[in-house]
Amino acid sequence: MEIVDVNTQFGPLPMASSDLAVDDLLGLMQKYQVQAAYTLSTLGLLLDPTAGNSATKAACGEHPKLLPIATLNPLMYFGDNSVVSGLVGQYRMVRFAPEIQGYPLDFAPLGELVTAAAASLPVMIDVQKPGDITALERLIGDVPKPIILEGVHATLLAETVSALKRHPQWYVETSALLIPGAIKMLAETIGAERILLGTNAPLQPLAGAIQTVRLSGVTEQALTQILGANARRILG
Amino acid sequence: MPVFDSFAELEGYVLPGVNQNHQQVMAMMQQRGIDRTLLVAARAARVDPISGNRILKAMLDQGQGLYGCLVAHTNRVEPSVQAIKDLLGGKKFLGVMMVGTNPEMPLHSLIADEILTACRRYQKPIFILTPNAACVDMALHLTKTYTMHKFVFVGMGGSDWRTAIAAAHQSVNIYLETSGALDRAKLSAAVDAIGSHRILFGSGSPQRDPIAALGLLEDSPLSATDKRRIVHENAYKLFALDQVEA
Repeated sequence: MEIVDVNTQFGPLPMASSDLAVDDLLGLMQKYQVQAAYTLSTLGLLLDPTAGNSATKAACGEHPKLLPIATLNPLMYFGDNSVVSGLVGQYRMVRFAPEIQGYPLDFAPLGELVTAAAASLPVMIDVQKPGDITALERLIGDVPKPIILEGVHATLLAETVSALKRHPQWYVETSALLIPGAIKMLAETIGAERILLGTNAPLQPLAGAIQTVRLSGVTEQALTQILGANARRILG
Repeated sequence: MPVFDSFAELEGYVLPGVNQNHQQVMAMMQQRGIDRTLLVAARAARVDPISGNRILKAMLDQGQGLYGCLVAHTNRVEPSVQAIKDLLGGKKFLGVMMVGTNPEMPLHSLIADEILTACRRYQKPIFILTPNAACVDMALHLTKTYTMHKFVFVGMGGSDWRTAIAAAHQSVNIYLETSGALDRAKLSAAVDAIGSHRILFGSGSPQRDPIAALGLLEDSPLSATDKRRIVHENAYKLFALDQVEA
């Protein structure tokens, strides 16, 4: 069964004891038989998307199992859509992290930039608290490419189900769904084809994230979808 | 390897059918390879210490490997002290968790005094929620004031785990419980600073799947000895389980 992780990162992270090393990520992937990981440089989230995207591209160029995620920052978006068009063909998706990057979800430049990005690339957006997903719905609604919700946890489950029922192009990743019963409930209500394995490795443990999915009680077919097939289908 | 989960909750979860009763807790433990679990009644922490603790007590008697941590609420001191007198002498209650109205806010030491004094004769560890640095600061103050008690810092400071480690370095009556931030760096940092004998594995279930919490140990570079201490040996000693289970 192929395992593909849609949410990993590398680079300096102030809260970590040291840099999240690419080798650390690759070592974990090998240990737990993860065939591919979508990844980004933390530099892009914490400081400068251009520098971060270059670092991501370089790391992924060197290691074929790593697939590049670009970052963009709406605080630096002044209406020039070439920041998006330059990413097409180079990166597999675009990531926005409002909390980390320092803006609210209810933020017009974010809406414009996500809409521009999601015309041609899948987009992953961090959500944190009740109301975030509803705000995101108001901000972007339906877009041509997939929207992946990152950070969904127990108190966001009801909002996630509600939003995903309305938006067939919206998906959810599992890095914060490390809670009993949630993955099974989501598979039964919105469908296993809408759930993607994400681990936030190497900051967070890879072993527990994969085991949580394996022990979630979903069917073998759903397991195959969640652990890898969905990522391949949606992100290429 | 036996696993003692030092922090899990009864009730209070968004999905039905999870940790609502002893059968569900035990089913989860069995599926995840947990031998013993220390339960806190979410009902007691969030609503009513009297009924919550009593329901927990009734449940503990029905399940093997289930233990309880009594909840004492600083906003309801009198009934909390009564619950301590009524229940804490029981073998199945291994400690007391002090909670306030908002778990994200530090406890007030003056209000905590009466509860801590009531606990003195039982010599059981005091659990304090430490989801952030501010709560760690106040908890550290309590550990220095009440040196006769052992304290468990539940969640070891959340993403401020460095503060919790620094606190444990200052006061030897602090134990760090590992639920909180799922940060692969924190256990190694804690063992480097204070050794492995004052760290307790806790999942925070059902707010986190125990298997995900155990992943923190599985992915860490700690020695087998350190892992063994953290997942069960330290808890056995702290809670004197050899006497409790004799």
